[in-house]
Amino acid sequence: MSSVVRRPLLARLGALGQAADGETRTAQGLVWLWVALLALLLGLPLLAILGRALLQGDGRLGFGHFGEVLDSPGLMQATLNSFVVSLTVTTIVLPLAFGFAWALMRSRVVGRAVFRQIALTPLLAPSLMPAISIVYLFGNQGMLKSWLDGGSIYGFWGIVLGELFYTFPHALLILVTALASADARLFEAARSMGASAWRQFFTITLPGARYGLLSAGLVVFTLVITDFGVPKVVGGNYNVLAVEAYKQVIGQQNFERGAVVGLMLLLPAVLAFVLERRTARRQQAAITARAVQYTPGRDPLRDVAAFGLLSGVSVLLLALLGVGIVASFIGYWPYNLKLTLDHYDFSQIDGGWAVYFNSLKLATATALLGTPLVFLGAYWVEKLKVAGVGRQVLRFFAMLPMAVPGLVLGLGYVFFFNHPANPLNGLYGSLALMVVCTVAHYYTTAHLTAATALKQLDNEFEAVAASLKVPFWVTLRRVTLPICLPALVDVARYFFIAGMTTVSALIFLYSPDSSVSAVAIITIDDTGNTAAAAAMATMVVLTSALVSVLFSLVEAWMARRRR
Amino acid sequence: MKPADTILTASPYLAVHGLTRRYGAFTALDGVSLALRHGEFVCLLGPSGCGKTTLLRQIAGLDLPDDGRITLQDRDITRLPPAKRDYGIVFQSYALFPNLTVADNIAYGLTPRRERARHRERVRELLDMVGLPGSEDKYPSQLSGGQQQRVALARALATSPGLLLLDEPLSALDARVRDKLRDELKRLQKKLGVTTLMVTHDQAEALAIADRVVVMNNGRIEQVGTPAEIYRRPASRFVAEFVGEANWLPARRADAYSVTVGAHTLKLAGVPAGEACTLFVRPEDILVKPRWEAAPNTLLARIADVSFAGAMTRLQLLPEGMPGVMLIAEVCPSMLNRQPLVPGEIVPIELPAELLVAYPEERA
Repeated sequence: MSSVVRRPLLARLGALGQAADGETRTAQGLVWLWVALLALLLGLPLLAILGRALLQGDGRLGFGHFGEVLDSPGLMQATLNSFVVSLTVTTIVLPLAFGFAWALMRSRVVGRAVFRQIALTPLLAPSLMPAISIVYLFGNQGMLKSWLDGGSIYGFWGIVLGELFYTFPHALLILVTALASADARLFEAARSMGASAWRQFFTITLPGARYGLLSAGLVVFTLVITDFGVPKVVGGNYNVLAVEAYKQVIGQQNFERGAVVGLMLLLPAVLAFVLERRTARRQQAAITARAVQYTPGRDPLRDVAAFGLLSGVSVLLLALLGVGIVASFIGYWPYNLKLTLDHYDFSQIDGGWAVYFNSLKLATATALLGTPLVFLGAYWVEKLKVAGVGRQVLRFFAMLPMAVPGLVLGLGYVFFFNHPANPLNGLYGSLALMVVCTVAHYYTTAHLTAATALKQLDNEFEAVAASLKVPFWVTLRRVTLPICLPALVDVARYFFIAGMTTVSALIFLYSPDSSVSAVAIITIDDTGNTAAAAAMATMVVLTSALVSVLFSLVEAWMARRRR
Repeated sequence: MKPADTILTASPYLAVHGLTRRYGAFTALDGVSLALRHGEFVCLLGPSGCGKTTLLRQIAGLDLPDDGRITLQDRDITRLPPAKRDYGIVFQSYALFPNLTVADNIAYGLTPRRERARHRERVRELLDMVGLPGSEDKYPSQLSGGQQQRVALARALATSPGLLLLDEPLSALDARVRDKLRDELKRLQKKLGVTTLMVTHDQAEALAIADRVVVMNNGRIEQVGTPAEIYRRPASRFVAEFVGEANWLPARRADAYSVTVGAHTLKLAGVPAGEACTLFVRPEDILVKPRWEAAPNTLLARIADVSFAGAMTRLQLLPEGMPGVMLIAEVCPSMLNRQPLVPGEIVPIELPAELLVAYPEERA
C-alpha cells in the first residue's frame, strides 16, 4: 500500500525538476531567496539567543545559565513583578477598552469617529510619552502630586498607568472588530421574546465578543510584559524583567543571563501568540455570511452613558499625551511657566538634532525597504504555486515576529550581528542594521495587511495570465501591484510610524552616531532633563501624526482617482 | 502502420490516459481516460465534487496529477507548466483584470507588446466576433456580467489557441443571458473550429451545446456519448438520474425479456441478471392512449394530478395493479387526440417496450 502512495510522489518530484522552465525556476528562486533573507533577519538572531542561553562556559550545551537566574533573588522578584503588572494592566484595560468599543459600535453618540481617532492616538507615540506625562503630573514636582497623599508615582502604579495608555488602542482595535460582527437577527429574536437590554448584553453581546476579549487580553498581557520604555522611566525601584534584560546586557555585559531573561520573555509571548491565532480562527468562523448588520436603535439613556465613557477615557488619554507636549514648551516646571522653545534646542544632548533626523531616516528607510520586502513576500506566499515547502517556511517566518517581543529580537541581533565571527558584524551599531531590525520586528502586521489585500484578488488572475503565456512578474507589475496600491500605502505608513516610535529592539543596537529620537528619550530622561525628553517625544508624535495625515490624503486621492 | 490507416484513425487532438489525482485520502480523479477529436466541443458534466473541474485543471496545468498522462497532438504535456501548453481559458468568475481596459485585457497575451497597431486591429476583430464592437476603452466594472464573459472569451481566443477550456463559464449569469450566450458560444466554436472542453453541472446546458458529453461521478467517467445517447440510453443508473427526469419502478425479473411490476408483466429489450431490478422510463415516453385496447405493456392508471407546464402537461399517474407506484408523465396536449385530462379520470397508458431500461438493483 505504501509503495502505491510513494511512487507518484517521487514521480512528481522528479518530473517537476525536468520540466521546470525559466519562469518556474525564477519563482522557486525568489521563494527561497526570501526564505534566506528572513532566516538572516529573524531565524539566525533568534537561534543566537538560544545558543547564548544554552552554551556553557566549557563549550557544552546545558541549562547552567538558567540555574544562575533561578538562584538570583533579584531576577525572580522581577519575574514576579512583571506578571503582577501585566495582569493588573490587562484587568483594567479590558473592561475599559470593551466599554469604549461598545460605545463606539452600539450607541448613536455624535462624533464617534472623533473619539475613535483620539483613542488611537497612542499608536503615534512612543511608549515613553505617557511615562513622561506621568512624571509631570505625579512626579516629585508634579501638578497632581498632592493626589498621591505622600506616596510616589515611581513604581507599580506609574507603570500601570503608562501601560494603560500604551496598550489601550491595541485592545480597542481588536474589540471593535469583535463587536463589528454583530448579527441584528439575534437581537431582534431576543427583543421579540421580551429580553431586557441587560439580558441582551449578557446573553448576546458579551458571548459574541468572547474570542475578541481573550485575544485582546493576550495581546495586552504580552505588550506589557515585554515593554521596556514605561518601566524604565517611571518604574523607580520596581524591577521588571524587560528592564532587567537591558541591565544585564547593556549595564553588566552579562550576555548569557540576558539571553536567559530574553527567553523567559519569549515564552509568554509565544504562548499568547499561539492561543491568539487559535481564537482568531474561531472568531472568523462565528460570522455567517447571512448575518444582518446590527444598527443601534434610539436609546437616550444608553447614549448618555456611552458619551460619558467615551469622553472620560478620551480626556484621560489626551491628558497623558498632551501634558508631555505642553510641558515641552514650558520654561522650567513648575517654577518658570513661561512658554519657550528652548527645550527644542537639543544642544545639550549627544547628537542634538541629528538624532531626530536619524529617526526620519530610519522611518523612511524602514518604509522603503519593508514595503517591497513584505509585499513581494506575501505575493510569493499567496500567489506562486511553486516551492511548497519554501512557501510554508516563508509563511512561518512571516508570522514569527508577532510572537517575538522587540526586546528579544534586539537581543538576538546583538548576539548574532555583534559576534566577532559574523562577517556582517561591521553592520553592528549602524542605522542600516536598525532599519533591518525594525522591518523584521513589525513584519507580521504588515504581511497580514498585504496578504489580506492579495487574498481578495481573483485567484484565477495568475491562471489566466499563464494560459496567455504571460510570466507572473508581468502580471504582478501590470495587474496585482496597481490593484494593491492602497494596501501598499497602508503598509508603508505602518512601517514609517513603527520606525518613528519603536524603542525596544533598537536600544540594543544604536551607537552614538546612530541614536534615534525614541531611544534618545530614554537617555535624555536618564540625565534628568525631562523637558528635553518631552520635546523629543513631542517631535516624534507630531511627525507620526503629520505623516499619518499625509498618507490618508494620498489614500483619499487614490480612491477618488479610481472612480 | 500504413499511411491510409493513420488518416482514418486520426490520433486525438487531446487525450488523457489513466489520470489520477488524490488529495490526502480523497481521490478526486480515479484513472480517467478521455480523447477529444480536433474541433470537437466536449462537455464534462457531473455534480459538484465529481472531479470535472479537477480534470480541467490538470489539462490546464494548474494542478499536477499523481499518475497518468496528458497528450496534446501527441505531445506529452503532463508535467509542462501552463505557459508551455497551448490553450485559452475562461473561468466562471471571468477573472478580468479590473485595472485594465477591455482592449488591454484582450491584448494581454498578444506579443510582441510593441506592435500596438496590429493588436488594436486584432482586438477590434475579436470584439466584433463576440458582439461587443466599440467597447475597447471601457473598464470591466462598466460592463454587465454577460458582457464581461464575452470579453473573457475574446481574451482567451486572442492568441488563437488550439484548445479552449471553459470552467462553468455561464453559471454566474441570469437564465436569459445564459441561454443567449450558450447559443452564441456554440456558433462561435463551430465557426472557429477550436477544440473545446467545457465544465458544467447544468445538464440542460451540456446537452444543448456539446458534440459529446462526458458524465462524471466520484472521480470516474460514467459515460461518454452524444447528447442523444446520454439522454436516451444512459449507461448507468447515475447517468439516468443526473440527466433529465425519470421514473423508477421496482421490478422483478421474469425472464430475459420481461419483468413483473406489481400484478403486471412488462416486456423490454433486455433484463440484467439478478432477481430484483429497477425500471427506468422518461416521463415523455409514457403514452396516454385515446382508448383502451389490449396490447403488451398497456395498463390503466388513475390521474392523481394535472399540472400545466407550458408546452407540456404534467400528469401524476397511479397505475392500477402497482400499489405504491406513482408515475410522472409529460404529454403534449396538442398531440393528444382526445378530451382534456382531468384528475380522477382513469386512462389507458403504454410503457413502450423499446424505451424501458432495466438496471440491476443497487446494493446498499
